[in-house]
Amino acid sequence: MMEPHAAIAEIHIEAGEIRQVVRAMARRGEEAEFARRVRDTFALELPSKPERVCREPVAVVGIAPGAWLVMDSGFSSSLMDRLKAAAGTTASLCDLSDAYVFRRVAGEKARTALAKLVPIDLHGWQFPVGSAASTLAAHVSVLLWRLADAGSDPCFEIGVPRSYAGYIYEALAHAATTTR
Amino acid sequence: MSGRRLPKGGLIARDRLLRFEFDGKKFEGFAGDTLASALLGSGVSLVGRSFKYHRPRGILSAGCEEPNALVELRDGARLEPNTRATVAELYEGLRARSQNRWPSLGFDLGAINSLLSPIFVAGFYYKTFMWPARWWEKLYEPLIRRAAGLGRLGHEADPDGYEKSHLFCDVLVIGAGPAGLAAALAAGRSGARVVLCDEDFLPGGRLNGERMEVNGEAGSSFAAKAVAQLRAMPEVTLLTRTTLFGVYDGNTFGALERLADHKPVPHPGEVRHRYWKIVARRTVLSSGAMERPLVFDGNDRPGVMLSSAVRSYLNRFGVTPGRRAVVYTTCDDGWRSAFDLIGAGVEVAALIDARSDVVDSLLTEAKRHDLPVYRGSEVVGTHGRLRLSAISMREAGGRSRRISADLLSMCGGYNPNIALSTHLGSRPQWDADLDAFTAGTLPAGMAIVGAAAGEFTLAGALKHGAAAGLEAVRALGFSATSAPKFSVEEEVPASNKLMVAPHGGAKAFVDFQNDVTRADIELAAREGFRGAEHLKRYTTLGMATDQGKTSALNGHALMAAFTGRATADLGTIGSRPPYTPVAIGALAGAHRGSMYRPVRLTPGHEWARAAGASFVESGEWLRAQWFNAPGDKDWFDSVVREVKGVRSSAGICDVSTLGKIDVQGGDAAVFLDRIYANLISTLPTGKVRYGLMLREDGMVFDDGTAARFAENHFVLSTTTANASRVMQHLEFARQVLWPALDVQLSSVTDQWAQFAVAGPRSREVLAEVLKDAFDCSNAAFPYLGCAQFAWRGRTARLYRVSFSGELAYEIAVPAGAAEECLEALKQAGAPFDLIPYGLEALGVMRIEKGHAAGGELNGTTTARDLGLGKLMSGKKDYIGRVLAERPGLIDPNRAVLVGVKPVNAASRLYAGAHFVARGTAPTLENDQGFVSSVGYSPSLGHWIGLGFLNRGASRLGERMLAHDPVRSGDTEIEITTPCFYDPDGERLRS
Repeated sequence: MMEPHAAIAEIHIEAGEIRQVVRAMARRGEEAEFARRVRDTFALELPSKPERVCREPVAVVGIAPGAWLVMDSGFSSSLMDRLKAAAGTTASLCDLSDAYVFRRVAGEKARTALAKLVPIDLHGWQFPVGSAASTLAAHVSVLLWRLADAGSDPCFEIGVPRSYAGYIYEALAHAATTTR
Repeated sequence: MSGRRLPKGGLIARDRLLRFEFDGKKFEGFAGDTLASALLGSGVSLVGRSFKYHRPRGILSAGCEEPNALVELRDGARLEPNTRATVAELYEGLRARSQNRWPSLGFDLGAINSLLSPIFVAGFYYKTFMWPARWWEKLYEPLIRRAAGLGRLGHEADPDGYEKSHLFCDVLVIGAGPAGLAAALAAGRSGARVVLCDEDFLPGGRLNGERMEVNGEAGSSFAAKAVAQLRAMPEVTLLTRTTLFGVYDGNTFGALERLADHKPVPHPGEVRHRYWKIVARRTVLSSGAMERPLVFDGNDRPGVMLSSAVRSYLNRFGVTPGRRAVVYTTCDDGWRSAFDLIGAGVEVAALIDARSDVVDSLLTEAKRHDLPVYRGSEVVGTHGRLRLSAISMREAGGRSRRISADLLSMCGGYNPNIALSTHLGSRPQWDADLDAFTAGTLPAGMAIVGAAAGEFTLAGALKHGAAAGLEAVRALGFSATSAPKFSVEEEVPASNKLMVAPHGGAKAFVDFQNDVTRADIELAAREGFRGAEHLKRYTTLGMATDQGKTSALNGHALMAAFTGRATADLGTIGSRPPYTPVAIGALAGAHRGSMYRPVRLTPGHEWARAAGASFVESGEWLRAQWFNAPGDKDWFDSVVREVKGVRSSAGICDVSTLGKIDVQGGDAAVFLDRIYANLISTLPTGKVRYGLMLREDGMVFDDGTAARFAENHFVLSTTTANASRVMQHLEFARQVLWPALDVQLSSVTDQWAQFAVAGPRSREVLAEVLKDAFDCSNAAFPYLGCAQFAWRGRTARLYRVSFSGELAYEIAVPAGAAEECLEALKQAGAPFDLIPYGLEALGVMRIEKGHAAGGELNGTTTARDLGLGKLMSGKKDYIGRVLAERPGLIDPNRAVLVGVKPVNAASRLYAGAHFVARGTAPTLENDQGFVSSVGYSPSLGHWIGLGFLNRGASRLGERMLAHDPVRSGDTEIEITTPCFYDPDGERLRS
């Protein structure tokens, strides 16, 4: 794995803080019930669109109809176990803690650099804080969402399938290098 | 006599001198020059030789439409042929060379073609190189190839970087002339996201080339202020040096930004070109107009120039292209050049207007300047060896006159530049009042303004541009108050008469770049190539770098005249992307070298590298092909050693690349029964089953395994090659075919590192690694078992499956634990001489076992062909069941999977060889099948292979020839069963 940190011009790329990832998919007809149980246990409202909601240290991103990525950046017990206990038979769960590598891309020119990789509109009007997308970056399927601004600069987090992480990091570093 | 730099004026930085070379001679220009303006300013008018006749050529235009002044720019790896000098921005140290001439530009032996022009007519190749046909390869083709093309390509790798990027906006304005600037200002003021693209390095369009005033100041100053205002608007993006080259579906546009072509070399880390993919909700096309040349004998001589270009060189670059000029026009606009030349102190010897009727105001002004005017007259010839020295004209009364001049400014009116309006298939429409084609149905969301819409006055362009900008943002819901106002002197719209005479001398050029003359068009008409498209193919009119920008309409008007039709009826041809040439590098962007395409690394990649692996690309993955060990002379040694090691003791292989799909839900088993050809629902929990998937058409799609971890939880494995396609297939089935089923899918390929542990000692190795975590004894965990348990605090999964035919397991751990697992296996395996093995050894062992893989799952084989017909369940329905029963697919004569071995054990086999019966000719009629996979079997001591043979199952023991005309010739082979090793499977159950 390459050095997971780079800072070029006004762009900062650094490793994300996510430690556990579970993909949760509502069982057929159980979406409302699963949402209620998540609300009760994690005090989080499951988004019904591509969006990220967060109650530290747990965040949830809507990644497909009836499917969410639940992420824990704390050091607490198994997220899988906690979700399993909460969901019961209302959702199918799949541990993907090792399947993604997360990078944060922040800075004044973060958008400019990311625009070289992803074909979606990252302008603040179209992609405000909390927006999420399942999209392509340099031909690779990735997840992308916008975190709270870092100072006055936008901050994005990109989830890359682990096997592509080196390739995407290189593509991102190249995009940042050529951004002036 | 020749051009020179005027003592003052122009938008160049006279305090920034730039030195450059052309054909080895040193010259000077200024910042703000193009190569063309700097050459003209240095007195150079001969710049190139024409394509076919090698005629001397100069500079025709001042823009991207230039057909003549094509040069080679830069050297070595950055050598760039066919660069238009009119758009190449001057930089310090620029080096350019003329092309298509030998031995020199001034004396070019190829010019003999011009004397032979009666032979080199349209359709020359079709008519000439007809027979003898056998001369084609040896004589004709080499000759044509040598003569073809302009300029040379560099043969070194391109040292520059390129990239792609995406841009989204509310309004895209194409072209920053007066109409475009007005549109961008109007739209930008509303706060909308506006992108303004202009191909020039100095936005402003004709405002920079004309003596016009806006708001009481010079047009160029107005343009500069407008640009400054736009740059100050936070949501406006101004892209200069950016050509919008293509219009695509879905409001998508392609643009090329040239970031470093105006520098000697790009800065470190700077890309040369950026390819923009722009998505715009609304578009304003303000691409201006292009001037039409006049067609007369000798109109290609250096010194003959478009009148708009003459004004650009005078007003923008402070250069006069000649010292004694004649102005020839069919329109009012041509007169402006005469007045501007006089204003710059250049002598104008005559103004020749082909029309008899000219408005009084022009005549009055000409009189004021004592300008000799000839109405109803025409230029009939030009003189001079390498540049213009005089012109011949015929006056209205028929009298001939010869006038010395080194500059002939010609104006045949203007064509609205509608190229981008036609990219999506819209046909141009003839506008009889304008005498030009205008845009037909526009792409959705596009407005066309200014000269591109036939609005040739400055006031009109500004007004309509602003209105279009305003309308665009209002339509998108922005509250825009009012359009910006501009104060401009009102003009009477000038005439734009198209006058192309269908008579005259032989050297009247229509397409300068392709050397297509009026006579060629007449010939095409005579020979029946009468449509606009036929004319293009037959004469090459409108081909090459300029794509007919200056030639198309004149050519079509002439064809119409020669065939007695109206130009409107003949029509014209549409344009296609790219509008101007785009470097291939820009299309590739950053995807070259190691970044050519996505690369996937397994979680055990670094461990394998340290263990001596040689890697091979397997789809996107890099996989260990074999491991280099001391004593291995070559890869063959390594592979033989690895196979022997696994078969005699134990080996480990990274199989993380196999696709892994998690299937859950109350209907998971039902769903999988419909996906696989064989039954899955009967699989007990804790068991794995081989699974075969068919495509809808009944062919085999993929094979793999299904493991059941719980009543409602399966984990599938797929081949590496088909992993993503199988996932798509399953998602399609889930979402589209059977949305009512309770099924949830997740790709877990990246979550798990998975390693095959194979060989007779593999259980002992594994037992040492797992210790108390799991009992892997044969009794507790028999063949085709699966289990999940905790290992060193993490979840692990174990599958008892075998691809090698040995006792084997696959252990899966979370990817982050890959190296820990590999190290544990290595240590536990040390007493057993455990070795890592790669893809090649894996392949050899699967051929020994007769397992079908890539070579056999090739999309044309059925389950029965592969000997897997018994897997096709008769108890249920599944994808592919019905079409697998098509008569052609159940034909008993089909080629089915067999094994092959050489009769002479020392012979090598080759995949791709075809089966023919001994004593028959190796012809298509006698072809009986082919070899699909081969390998050297260390277990048997000779080569073995798999293949498909007609009625193969009933031909075991038959001897045939494997015919390979490319490599080995014929090898005598014997047909065997596909399984060469442990046919009863005793080893894998042991």
